[in-house]
Amino acid sequence: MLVLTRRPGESVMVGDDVVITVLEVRGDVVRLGIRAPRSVPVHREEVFLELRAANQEAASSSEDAVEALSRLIGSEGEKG
Amino acid sequence: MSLEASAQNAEAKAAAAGDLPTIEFVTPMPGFPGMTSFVLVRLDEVGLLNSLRSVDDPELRFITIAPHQFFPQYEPEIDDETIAALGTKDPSQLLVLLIVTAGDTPRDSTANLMAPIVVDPMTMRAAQCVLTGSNLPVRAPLA
Repeated sequence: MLVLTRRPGESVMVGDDVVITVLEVRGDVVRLGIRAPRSVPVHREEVFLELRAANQEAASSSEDAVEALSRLIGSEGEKG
Repeated sequence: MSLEASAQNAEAKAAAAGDLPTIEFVTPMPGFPGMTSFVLVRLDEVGLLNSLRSVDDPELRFITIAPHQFFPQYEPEIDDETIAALGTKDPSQLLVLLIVTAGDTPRDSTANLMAPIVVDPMTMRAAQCVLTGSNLPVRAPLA
């Protein structure tokens, strides 16, 4: 891991087009600004990990489960 | 006919007609780098249930629902960045789909409210839009 020391207002470049700027340091909280191209998604790590897990779980839904879901949606649709 | 067979049949028909509704993700979904082209196929007449199948890996398939039946209050605020990335001219036209994780029973199924898939039907571009700071659940029960 590359370890750098930066002051508020100073930045780090990642590749040619990702800029990470330290905006503010207050106590044990650091505020960062991140400028990246649209093709580079930026997420908080815990959000990314949660989404990745949910997506991977969703991608492995069984056929039987999907069939059952389809029937449920059909019947709910009739009710509504 | 099984749902799977009917979905593949629908895809085959659409492919034969040359109008396979392929959508392009402007950024890949978390967990699936490199997967950007998906075929969106309705699994019912009214478009509540859809299948989103990867063009690059036909084994990869997501099931999505339109939110209104299960979550009538759901009104995600799509950020300007996403709208710009999709090339959307009229945000009210955006199609919002929720990724469903089908459980052992339908009552165990959940939908991802925090990160809906938004599709611009004009540009056929899509994104999984993360509603940061919304506190919406990633696994909301359908029941």
